[in-house]
Amino acid sequence: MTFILYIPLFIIFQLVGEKLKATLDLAIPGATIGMVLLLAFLFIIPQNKNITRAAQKLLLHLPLFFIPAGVGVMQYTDVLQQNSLALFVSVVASTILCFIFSAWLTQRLVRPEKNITT
Amino acid sequence: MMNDLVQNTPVVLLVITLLIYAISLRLYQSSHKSILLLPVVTGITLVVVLLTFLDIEYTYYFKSVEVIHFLLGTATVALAVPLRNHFHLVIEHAYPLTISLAIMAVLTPGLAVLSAWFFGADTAVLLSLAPKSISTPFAIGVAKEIGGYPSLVATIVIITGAIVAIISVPVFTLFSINNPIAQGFSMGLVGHGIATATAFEISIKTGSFSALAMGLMGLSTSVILPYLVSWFF
Repeated sequence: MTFILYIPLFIIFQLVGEKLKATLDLAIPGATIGMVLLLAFLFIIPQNKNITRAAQKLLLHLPLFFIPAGVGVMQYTDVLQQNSLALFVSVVASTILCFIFSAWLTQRLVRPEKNITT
Repeated sequence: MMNDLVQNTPVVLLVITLLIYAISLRLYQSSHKSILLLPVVTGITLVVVLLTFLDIEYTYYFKSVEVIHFLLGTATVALAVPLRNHFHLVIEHAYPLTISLAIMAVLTPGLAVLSAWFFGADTAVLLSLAPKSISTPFAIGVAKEIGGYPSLVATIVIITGAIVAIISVPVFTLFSINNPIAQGFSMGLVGHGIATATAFEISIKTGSFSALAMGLMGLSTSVILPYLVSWFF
């Protein structure tokens, strides 16, 4: 259970990120700044199993953390209705196209390099 | 009576949300992880139905469960850990992955916004679509910055991830995408966290690259998009 003690470490970086964002008036989300700082910090300290476990446990419950923001969709029923066609095309069709393209592109890019190295 | 109880003790909503999440997880597991029962989707739907039924305003609900929302930011920060643990893989495949990331970081929001614009969406809706392929914690942060509707973004992002999760295996078969690096990286690039969960079910390597792509895409988009949008809108 020691990994639980590491969750406040993430919170500290989150708060530092928020604080930096506010003081420097950056357009980047505070949590993103916190993440970059934590990434840099993780290169300084030796690899730690408990930090990895704490992150895994937290990321496992990501669906829960989405709920408060996601429920807010109930405020936008009229926006959704007015823009239903555009939203459908953009969310469904463009996602499928982008995904097929990115899979094809990445495979093409990764393969030639593999042939050279092996 | 239920309404009075909820209105006077906000903590009840917190407990209800946790219960609904537990039920959603249970449903997902007992359906052998059917993609149609993704816990996020079920959870949000059940809460919306409940709030509508009890006639509770969203602002009041959000205030009551703000601590859960706070942890979304904490989880974003925690994404640095898998990114750190897989960093050697980034270096190893730095060249193809950087190109792929750079192209998709422009193409994904670009195509989403252009297609919606073509079909006549409002500016705020367009701005809510721009961050649709990045993990929700990033996307909500970005939406707040660029002036989209944060909650609408959350829904769009979740649906986008679910679509990628559903179509991934058929697409890989149809277009013979058999390289786990390509599979995972593309899933994470377009389908963020929700697709990453599915990627781990394909293989550990696929999952790791999906987690990596999700982190990189979230990071690059949330840094670039606010500045890009301030030039265009």
